[in-house]
Amino acid sequence: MSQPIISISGVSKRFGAVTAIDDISIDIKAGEIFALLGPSGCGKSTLLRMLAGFEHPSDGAILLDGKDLTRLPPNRRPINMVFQSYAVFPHMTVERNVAYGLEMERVKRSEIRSRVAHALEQVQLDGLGDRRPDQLSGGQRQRVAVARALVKRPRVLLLDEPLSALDAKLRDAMRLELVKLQEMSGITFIIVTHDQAEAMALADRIAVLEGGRLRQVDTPRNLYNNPVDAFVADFIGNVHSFDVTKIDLVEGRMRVQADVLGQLMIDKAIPEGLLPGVQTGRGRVLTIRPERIGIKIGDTYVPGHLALRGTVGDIAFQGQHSIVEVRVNESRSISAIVDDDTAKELDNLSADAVIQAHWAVADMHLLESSAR
Amino acid sequence: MPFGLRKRASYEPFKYSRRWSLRTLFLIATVFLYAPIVVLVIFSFNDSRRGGNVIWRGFTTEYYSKAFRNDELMLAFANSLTIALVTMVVAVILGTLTAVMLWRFRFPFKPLVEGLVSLPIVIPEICMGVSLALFFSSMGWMKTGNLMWPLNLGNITIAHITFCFPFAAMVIRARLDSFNREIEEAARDLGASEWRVFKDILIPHMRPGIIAAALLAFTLSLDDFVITFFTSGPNTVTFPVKIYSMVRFSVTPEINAASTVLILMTLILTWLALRYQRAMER
Repeated sequence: MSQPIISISGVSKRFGAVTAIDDISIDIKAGEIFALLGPSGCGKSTLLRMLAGFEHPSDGAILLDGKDLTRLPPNRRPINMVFQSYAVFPHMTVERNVAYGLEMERVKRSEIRSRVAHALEQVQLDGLGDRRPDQLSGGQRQRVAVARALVKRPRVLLLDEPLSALDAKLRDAMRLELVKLQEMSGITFIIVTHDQAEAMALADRIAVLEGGRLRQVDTPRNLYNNPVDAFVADFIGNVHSFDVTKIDLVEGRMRVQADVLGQLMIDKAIPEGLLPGVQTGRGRVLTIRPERIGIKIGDTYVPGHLALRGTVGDIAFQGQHSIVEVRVNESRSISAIVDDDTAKELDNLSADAVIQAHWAVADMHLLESSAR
Repeated sequence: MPFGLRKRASYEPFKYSRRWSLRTLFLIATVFLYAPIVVLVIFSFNDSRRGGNVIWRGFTTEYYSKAFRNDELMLAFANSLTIALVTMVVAVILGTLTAVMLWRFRFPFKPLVEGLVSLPIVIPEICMGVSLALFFSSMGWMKTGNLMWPLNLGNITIAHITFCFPFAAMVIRARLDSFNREIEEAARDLGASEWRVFKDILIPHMRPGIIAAALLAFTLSLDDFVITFFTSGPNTVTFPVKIYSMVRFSVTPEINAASTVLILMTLILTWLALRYQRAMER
């Protein structure tokens, strides 16, 4: 395996009594788009600021190409950042903004001129070099911030919530453009975001953080299909979870007792520490993704599937598909994704007509619950 | 129409000038603000021996030339300008540094330091005048009045800097509140040292505040009377102190003329500063 470009090893950060980052280790490969994903306050921004050099770890080290840069100030790291507020220098023209980093490196003037021109072209701002930031739109300001960082040819580009301030249309365009820029430049991108859809669409690999701890690092597909715990499952896409009340082993298979679902036999890898005959189960959940759930009108048996009976609740039209809510009982409802024809059919049912939400037991995951 | 409901003329928010009551109030305020100044200027051209004379006796510019020929008045004027210029420069430098310190750093007893810095603003001027006079005489510095010009203005200049720089610091500090820290971090990230950040990023951001502070320090120094009165010696008279001593003998149109020149100078300075500031914003 090739050497990682960035190696975060055993990094912790404490602010007084608060632990913002708790013993995180991640290796980031050269040339990938890596996303740090998590809800606000999970420590992802602190981690990014430590990579940039604005914060220093309380413990652990950060290596770049195998060299320790934990104590290096931000101006001496070959890492550049695109800030959330873009932080374009308001008193300088676009051109001078982009040239600033090269001036600090004492690059020759003729070279600065050609590199700035090239960078502006890359982000499609050619011809706007003389503008001042207040004459630019938000999207254009962000391009200036990206060009200003890329022109330095950093080893790693950090992007703090790069799409959060843009409106929906622009966000999609910018997302594609960022991927294209990454491919053209070959620079490793590290993106901080709280938006799982954004992370999934952009990143080659995602690190899911929560409460200062690293939950899982993997490709978007693996995170989605094999989440390590209920938090990751719920954060990456939607999931229905059922609290497990009891697990025991019967002839090498797990017999699971869960809320609403009742008793099931499950053929899954047996969680560590689960011994034959010993009954545990607290702190675990069974999960199922809404798109794995089928809907059947009437109460005829669905072969091979687990089925929950209920009535039709809200139906939310989404365009190609609709999201339908199945009311299982007063306190529990389950949503599933159905096509337009089924949605129309369900819409015409009477309020007390019986429908079934059904899915294959094998599509469920037995995961550790996120509440710790 | 139901009882109590009366149709009232409604006013748009910015059409307040339509109400006669507000218009009158505005007129009165304007008259009290500007009428004395207008009268002062008009009577600087009055051909009368006494400036307090409110009877118009014909147009003359004689008192302007007389004022310019009055060596003592001119010396006082030069003194005032010199003090104001030096005060402006030093107060702005000190004020900028103080503002950056208070904005940027956390240190023990910061609230105390903040309070101490703004003390000269709230302390009655008369107390500052007396205390500075006592200080200078106990240090034996009152004799500096016998030194060569402009060294003899040292006492007054120090006193002026002392009461001007807190104002400068306040104005610049207020400007710094609108600074986006990410811009500073972006500069660091792009390779700028702390000093380059200060020079390339922070100073340009503070510039409007610095200009305002400079103007404020200059005018505060130029027209200060109380503190100057206590710290000036017989050879070191400033313009306001000189006018005061002239008024004690008699009010002549010469004083009006000198004052008019002072007003004109302040107006030009303000106009220049505003123009510069607007050019900066563009």
